[in-house]
Amino acid sequence: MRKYLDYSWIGIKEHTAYAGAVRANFVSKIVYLYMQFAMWTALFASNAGKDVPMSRDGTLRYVIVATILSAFVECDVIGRINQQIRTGDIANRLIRPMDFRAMVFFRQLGTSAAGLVLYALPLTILIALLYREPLVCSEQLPYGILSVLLAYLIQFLYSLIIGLMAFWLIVTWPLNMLLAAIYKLLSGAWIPAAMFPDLLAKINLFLPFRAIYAIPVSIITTPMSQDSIRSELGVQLLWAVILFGIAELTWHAGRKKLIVQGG
Amino acid sequence: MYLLKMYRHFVVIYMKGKLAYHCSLLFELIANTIQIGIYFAGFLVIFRNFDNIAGWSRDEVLFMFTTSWLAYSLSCFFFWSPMKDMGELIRSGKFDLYLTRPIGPMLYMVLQQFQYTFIPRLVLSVYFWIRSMSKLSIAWNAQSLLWYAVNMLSAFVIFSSITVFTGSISFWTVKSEEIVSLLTNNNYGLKNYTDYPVTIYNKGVRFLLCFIVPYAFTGYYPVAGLLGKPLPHPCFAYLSPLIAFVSLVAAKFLWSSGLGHYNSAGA
Amino acid sequence: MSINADNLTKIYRLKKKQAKTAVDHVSFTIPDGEITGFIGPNGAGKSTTIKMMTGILIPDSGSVSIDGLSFKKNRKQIMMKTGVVFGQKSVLCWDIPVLDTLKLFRDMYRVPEAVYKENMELFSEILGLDEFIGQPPRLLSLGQRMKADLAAALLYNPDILFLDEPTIGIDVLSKERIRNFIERINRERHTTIILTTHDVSDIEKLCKRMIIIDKGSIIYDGTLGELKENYGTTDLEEIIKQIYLAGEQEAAESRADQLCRGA
Repeated sequence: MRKYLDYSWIGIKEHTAYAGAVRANFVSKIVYLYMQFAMWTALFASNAGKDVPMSRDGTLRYVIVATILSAFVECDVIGRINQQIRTGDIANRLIRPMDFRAMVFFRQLGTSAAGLVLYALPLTILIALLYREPLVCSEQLPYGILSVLLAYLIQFLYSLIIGLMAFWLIVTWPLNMLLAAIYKLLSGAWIPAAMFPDLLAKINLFLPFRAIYAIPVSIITTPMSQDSIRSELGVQLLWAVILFGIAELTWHAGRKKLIVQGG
Repeated sequence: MYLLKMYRHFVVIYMKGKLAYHCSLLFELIANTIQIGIYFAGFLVIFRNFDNIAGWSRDEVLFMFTTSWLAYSLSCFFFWSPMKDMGELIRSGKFDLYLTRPIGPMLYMVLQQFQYTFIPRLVLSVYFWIRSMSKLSIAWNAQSLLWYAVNMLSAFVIFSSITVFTGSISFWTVKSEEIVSLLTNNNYGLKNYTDYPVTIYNKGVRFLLCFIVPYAFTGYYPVAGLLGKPLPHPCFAYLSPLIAFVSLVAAKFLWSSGLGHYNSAGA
Repeated sequence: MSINADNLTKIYRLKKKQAKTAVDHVSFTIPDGEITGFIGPNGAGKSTTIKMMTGILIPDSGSVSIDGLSFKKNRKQIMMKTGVVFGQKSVLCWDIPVLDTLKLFRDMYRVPEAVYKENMELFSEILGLDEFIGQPPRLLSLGQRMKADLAAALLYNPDILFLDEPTIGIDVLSKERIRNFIERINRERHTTIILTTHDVSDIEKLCKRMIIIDKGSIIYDGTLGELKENYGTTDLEEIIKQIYLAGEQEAAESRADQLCRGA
């Protein structure tokens, strides 16, 4: 366990090594949040009386919580695995007495911890000072936290799978970019999933993206019945299991390829 | 003639290099198309739920930001990649090689690449530009058409100047990647602000978008003038060429002094 | 073309108030058609001098003139007549056949077809360029890549050729071929060649004259024969070692001096 925690520590250090990058990252969150805030406020203000699936306050809550969440759910696992495979560095990792996946996971935990302290917390304080409306449904918060943890796991497994694609692809950035775009829309990190047209919503039911932002953010910000909370958590659990299976398969196939090619 | 011939050479070389990696070129184009396509899809999803933003209809907003995007895609086609690579070129010392060529370093870097990854953005912008324009029934006449073209050119100059400006910072071996990302990142960059009418932002941000990083003059103000939207002052509709000129001078100045600094300090 | 360096000085400003004089009032003249070797320990000011001669760096004081032309006024004209090869930085396009890069240089430097043909034949004959001209540099050995870089720099019959460590990391046989080639170019075309290297045998084989730089100043400028005579040995490596060592001792003494005075 100790050795894995060392990796978490590396993750924290790596993320905090460049003060300039940390500052820029934080500013970028604010830049993004302010744009979202201005856009949704203006949209609701200019369309008074129009029937919209969400209220103004509900939408703003959603957007704020989603942005705070992104500060530590977002990860660079894909890029890191891609690089390790491309440079052949992964072979060095495999000879160590540790599980590669666990190593990546704990490193990511470190990065997320840094993200939590450096971005999510200050952002929350800043918002608490500027936006004086209640942000969360406190009675649903325990479920919300559980849902966030599941979302974190799903996000990690998803990134692991995509990262491992580098075993089979020469250039990985187009795939990453393509998926990032799909992810941005379908996860609900950009536009609340409740506003999706029917077709998109239906497609989304069969994809894991919704489980990363839309579900946890909804549970935290929107009052829901116990039943629907439970079923949403069930959906997340199901995705976690499915993705875990796929990640296992991908990992073993990739490893085999590595051994055959000799790194 | 000489430059055209050189450009043809460079493009052939660049594309040959790309094609060495089998289908990656096609894959990149598809990925870019989907990325930009999804941005438009998201935009349309928003306007399925709402009719207008700050008094601008969906098609008006579309027309406004595709005007800006057209210029942006073209500008990036030439300047984005060279300026993005500046930091790396200077840190690795490879910039020296450009200084020993009979073609100036800026021209050389612009010519030697062919950033086809901006073509999907350009094509999609043209599509939505035409689509939105056809729904708007703008009363074009020779004068407004000419003026629109002048503004488009100004937008190109403004975008290019900002890109060159950020690239030139690398001469002082300052890491400019973060600034570039803060400005143009597709998710959270400041440039995205001008995809919507700037009246939705507060005064400080509007000032920033007008006079510090003048993205607002690449689409919003000229189009607002064309569509007869209220302006803070009537002259805002006519300021783009002036802003473009000032940006150009500033970028040229920073580039030359950066080059001078490099010449005197090395990397 | 001849090169005239007059009182070249270059001072690098480090952090606040600290400055390092990299080149200190250096003057020399390199006549038309001569091969001159520049040697000196690492950090002696060799590459700074070369960079000033190639117009990459502008001297803080003093001037470089090439056949009476200056970089300030006649930059393009000089560049058309100068070939530069950096052992550590290739000009070749990584992923495409060498031939394409050469054709690019043919047009960039407006080389007439007859000259191009003649040169390509020469390069094939001495460097064996035709054996790998169809391959991209990423598939070539270091020696082959250097040969291709040399070809690119000499394709347009420059009057001056700068070679910055052209034999670094290259096997004995390839080195031999590269040296023969340089020698022949100098003999047949009367090309002025400036060579920096850490390999003493490069100097022995190619240069009549050598300039030794240490701590920003020229400490020897003369023929190889004279140098050997002065030291009473024909072992150039030994001579150079002695010179470097003397320089180090002197520096150590002056440091000790300063320390004493300080105390």
